[in-house]
Amino acid sequence: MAAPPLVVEALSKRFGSVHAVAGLSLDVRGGEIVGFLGANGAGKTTTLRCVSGLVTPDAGEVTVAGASLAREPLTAKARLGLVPDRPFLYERLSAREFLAFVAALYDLPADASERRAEELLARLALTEHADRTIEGYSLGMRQKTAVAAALLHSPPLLLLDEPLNGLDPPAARVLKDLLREHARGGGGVLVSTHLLDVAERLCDRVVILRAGRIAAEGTLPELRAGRSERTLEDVFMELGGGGGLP
Amino acid sequence: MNVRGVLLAHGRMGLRSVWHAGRPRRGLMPLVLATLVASVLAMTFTVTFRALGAASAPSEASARLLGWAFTLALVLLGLGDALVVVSAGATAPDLERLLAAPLRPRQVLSLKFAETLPRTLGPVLTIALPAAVCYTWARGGGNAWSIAVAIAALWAIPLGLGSALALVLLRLAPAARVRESLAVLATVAFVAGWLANTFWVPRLAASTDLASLRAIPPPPPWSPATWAADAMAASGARAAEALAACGLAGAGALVLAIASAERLMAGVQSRAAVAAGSRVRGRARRAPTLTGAFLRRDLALFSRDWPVLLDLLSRLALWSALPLAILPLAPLPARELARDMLVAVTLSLGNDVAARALPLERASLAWARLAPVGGARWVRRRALGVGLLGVVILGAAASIVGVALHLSPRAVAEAFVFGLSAAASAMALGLLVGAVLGDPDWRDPRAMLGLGGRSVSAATMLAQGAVWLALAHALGPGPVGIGWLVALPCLGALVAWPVLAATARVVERREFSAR
Repeated sequence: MAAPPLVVEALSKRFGSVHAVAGLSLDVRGGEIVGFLGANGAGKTTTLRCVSGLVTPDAGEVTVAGASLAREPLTAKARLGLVPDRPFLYERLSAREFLAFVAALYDLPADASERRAEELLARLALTEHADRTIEGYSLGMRQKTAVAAALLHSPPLLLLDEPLNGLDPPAARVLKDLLREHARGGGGVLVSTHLLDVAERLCDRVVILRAGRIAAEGTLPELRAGRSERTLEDVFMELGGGGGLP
Repeated sequence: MNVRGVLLAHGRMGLRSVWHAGRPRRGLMPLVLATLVASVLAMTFTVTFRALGAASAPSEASARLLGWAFTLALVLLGLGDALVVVSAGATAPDLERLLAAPLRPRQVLSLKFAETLPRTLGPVLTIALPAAVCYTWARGGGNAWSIAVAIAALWAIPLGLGSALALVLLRLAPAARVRESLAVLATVAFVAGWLANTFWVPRLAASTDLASLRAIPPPPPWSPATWAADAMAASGARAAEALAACGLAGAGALVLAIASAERLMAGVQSRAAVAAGSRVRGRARRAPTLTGAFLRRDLALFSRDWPVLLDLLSRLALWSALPLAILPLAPLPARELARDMLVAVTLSLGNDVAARALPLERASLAWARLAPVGGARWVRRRALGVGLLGVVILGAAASIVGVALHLSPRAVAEAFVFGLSAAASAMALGLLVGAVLGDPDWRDPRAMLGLGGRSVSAATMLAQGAVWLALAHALGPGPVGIGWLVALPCLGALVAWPVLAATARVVERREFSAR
C-alpha cells in the first residue's frame, strides 16, 4: 500500500513569543483534497511553509509520501509541489524559461517536462504569454505560472496557499479541475483558502485551524453533525471564525 | 481625515524601515556608518580649510571649495532623490491605497516626503552639513541661521526638483522603466563624483603650496549650491541676497513639487499599474544539466537587468582605474601596477558581482529550500556562474592592462593568475555577505544590500584586498616563480572553500516565513 501523501505529527513553530503552530497533527490521504481553513493569523501559511521545507519547525515530524522531511529532505521535497501565497518567480525570465529551470531543479527528463509544461500552459491559457518576461504579468498570470511550476513534476502532494487569489472565473475553474484530476490520479491536495464555498464544493475533507491548533476536522457531513441545514460558514464561525492568534 | 496623524505614522514608518533595514536592529549599522562618513568628511574639510587659512589663501578660495562641495552634493542628491521618490512613491505597494484615500495629491506627496525623510535627509547631513560646519569653524563667517537655511535649501531643492522630475517622467513611461533609468543616471552621477574624488582630491592634497586649491575655479553662479556657499562665506548685502535666494529656491522647489503632484499624481497611478515585460527571443528549452540550467538563468537575469549590468560595468571600470589614479603620486613598476589593478578589479568582482548574486534572485531564492537541490549545490552553482563571469572580466582586464603597460605575455599571465587567486577569496566572501545581508525587496540596484550591507561588503573587500596587495608587492617587480603561480591559486581556493560552505549553511538555514 502506498504511503499517504502527507502525515504531520505534533508540528510546532514559534516566532518570538507568538506560537504560530502549536502541536498540529494532520494527514492527507491519496486521492483526497483537504481544505485548510482558519481566520487570518490562524497558522495556515506557517503550517504550509513548514510542510514544504521553507520554514524549519521547532518540533514535530513531517512525512511526505513516506519520506521524512527532516531525515530525507531532498526526497521529501521532490515529492511535493507548493503554490505559495506570493509566488516565487524570476521576474526577468519568461514563463517558459522559468518552467524549464524548475524542470531542471526537479531533474525531469527534457522531452517529457517540455510536453508537460506546454500542456499546463495551454490548460491555464498562458501559451500566448509564455515567451514574455514575468515582470509584465498580472497577479492572475503569476498565480497560474506558480501553479504550472508546482504541477510540473506531478508530485504526490500538492500544497496550495490561497491559490485562487487573482484568478478570473475561467482560470479558477481550470485550477479546480486540475486539482480534482490530481486527486483522481492518486495524489493528495492540501489547499488553504478563505473561500468557504470553494472549500465546500471542492474539498473532500476540511481542517479548521484556530490559533495554531486544529479546532475541527472531518468531512462536511461530519462537521454539520447531523444538522444538514448548517453550512460550512456556520461551522466555521462557530469553530474557527472567532479570530486568529490570541 | 486625520492628516497630521497619517503624516506622523508615515514618518514613523520611514524611520522604522531605516532602523530595521529588513531585519531587527540592523539599522544601527547605517547610523554608525553615516556618522563615520560624516566624521571622516568633517576631518577632511577641517584640514583643507585650515590649510588654506594657514597658507594665507584668500577667503574666496575656501568659499569656492565650499561651493563645489555643495554642488557635488546637490547633483548627487537631485538624482538620488528622484530615484527615492519613484521607488518609494510610484512603485510602492501602498500608492494605490493612498490615492484611493480621501487625500489630496499634495498630501500624498507630503506622506511620501515624511516616509522617505531618513533617506533624503541622510546624505545632506553626512556630506553638506560637515562641509558647512567645518567651513564656519575653520574660516569663520556664517552663523547657525545661515547654516540652517543653506542646509535646508540643499535638502529642499533636490527633493522638490527631483520629485517634480520623477512625476513628469512617470507620466511618460512605466514606473519600472523610470526607476531603472534613474538608477542608471544615479550610477553615472556616482561615477562622475567618484572620478572627481579619485583623480582630483589626491592631486589637490599633494600640492605642497596649495596652488591647486588656490586656483580652483568658481562654481557656476546660477547654481543654488553657490548661493548656499555665498550665504555662509560672503558678507553684508551679498550674503543676505544669497540667503534669500536659497530660501526662495528651496521654497520654490517644494511648491513646484506640490504643483506637479496636484496636476500629475492621478495619472501616475494608471502608469504605475502598467507593467513592462518584454518578449524573449528563441524558444526556452530545458538545459541538459542542472549546472547548465543555472548558467542559462544567471545569464538571463544579468543580461536583461540593464541597470544592474551598467552599474556593474561602471564599477568595474572605476575599481580597475583606481591604481592609475594614484600612480603619479606613488610610481610603481609595471608588473606590480598590473597586479594592483587586477586586485582592484577583484574587489569589484566581490563587492559588485558576488555580493549581489544571491540578492538578485529576490524571494525566488526560496527555491533553494523548496526544490530537491539543497543549499550547498545551489550555492556551488551560483558560485560557478559568478566565477565564470569573473574569469571573463579578469581575462579582459588582464589583456587591457597588458597592452596599456606593454607587458610581455608571461607577465600578463602572471598577473592574471594573481588576480584569479585574489578573485576566488573576494567572490566567495562577496557571496557570503550577500547571503547574510542581502535585501530581497531591493528596488535600487545599488541597494541590494542596504547601506549597512554595502558598507560591510566594501570593508570586507578592502580588508582582504589589502592582504592581496601586500602579497603583490612582496613578490617584487621581477618575474614570479612557478611555485608561486601554483601556490597562489591554492591559497585563493583555501580561503574560498570554507567561506562557500558557510554561505551554503546560511542559504540552507534561511527561513522564508510570511512574517
